[in-house]
Amino acid sequence: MLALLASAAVAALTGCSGIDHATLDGVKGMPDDSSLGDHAGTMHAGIALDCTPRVWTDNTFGGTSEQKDGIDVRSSNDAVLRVAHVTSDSRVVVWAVEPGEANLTVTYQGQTALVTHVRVLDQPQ
Amino acid sequence: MGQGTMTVTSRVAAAATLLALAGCERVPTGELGNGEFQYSCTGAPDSACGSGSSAQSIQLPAQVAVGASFSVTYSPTTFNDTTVEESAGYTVVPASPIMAQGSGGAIVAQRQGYVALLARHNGTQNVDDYVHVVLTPVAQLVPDATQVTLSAGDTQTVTLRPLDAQGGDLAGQIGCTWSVTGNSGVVTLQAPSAGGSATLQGTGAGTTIVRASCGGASVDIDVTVIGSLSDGGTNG
Repeated sequence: MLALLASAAVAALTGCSGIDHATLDGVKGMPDDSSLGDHAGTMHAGIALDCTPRVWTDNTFGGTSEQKDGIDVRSSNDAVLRVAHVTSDSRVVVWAVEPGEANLTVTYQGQTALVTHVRVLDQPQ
Repeated sequence: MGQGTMTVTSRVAAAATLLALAGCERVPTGELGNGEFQYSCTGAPDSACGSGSSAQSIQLPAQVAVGASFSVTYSPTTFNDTTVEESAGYTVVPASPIMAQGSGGAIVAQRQGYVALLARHNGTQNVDDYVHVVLTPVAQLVPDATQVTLSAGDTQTVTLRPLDAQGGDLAGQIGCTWSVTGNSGVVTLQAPSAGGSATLQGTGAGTTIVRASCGGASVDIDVTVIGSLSDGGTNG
């Protein structure tokens, strides 16, 4: 009985419910005026940046719990925008390949948590 | 207590210094703080590498010439005796082929601006670290000799130093064309080089001009040759 209660408590605290919100945290590394927000971004071709995708889910106590595992980030158009995980931590690196548009999608356990529309422009000459 | 803390702190600092001096810890140069990017000097003419012709690795230069080729390697910050394997486990690739092309070996700067160089793990394709490099057009060329005087048969190598519009040095092995624009019977270009240096050989008495063009910049070198090959000029 205690074990059952403990399991339920852990499940409630860690959040087995839906996604509450997500964010791209700590965006940095751009040497120019390229930018990336939670819903939109503009980058110049050749520029890279790093950030930490963070996802919170609802828990059964009416609050939210931040998730640490099962988070992924993908680009809708690798020819324009690419993303890769950092080897040693939860950060990702996003880089602009060529002018165009792409969506950066953060997922938690396969569910979409955040979609950011990114425009990639030529660098000013 | 305070003195003891200072002693411990001093010992830690001394140990860290010794480790750094001993080469056991690299200073991160990447944006993520995970590793060090180094610029490779191959022995070919490159103003970032000085006049020495030996292969070596140096700190990343401030800017690279548009049109130039260059090579960058990556090593993780912390390493042990398997350094070579760890370094070989990564490939440095430019973020955009519009800005720079190539990977692993030579990278060729294509356009003015910034380009991120990504250290990608060969197995996972994860990024271990990245760094931005500034690509700048060549605005001026400074030859190591603007006036060359040769005896017929002698040779002299002229090397160019590419600069930006403000006079700042530009790294990279630049691509250049060399030509004799004056009297063609005075000097020949030995094995005309497409790079930042060329060897001139005096062939007949007189004066002429050798022109080098790299990107949008060019420079003239005045050449005077004394004597002629038939006079028994010395071979240099």
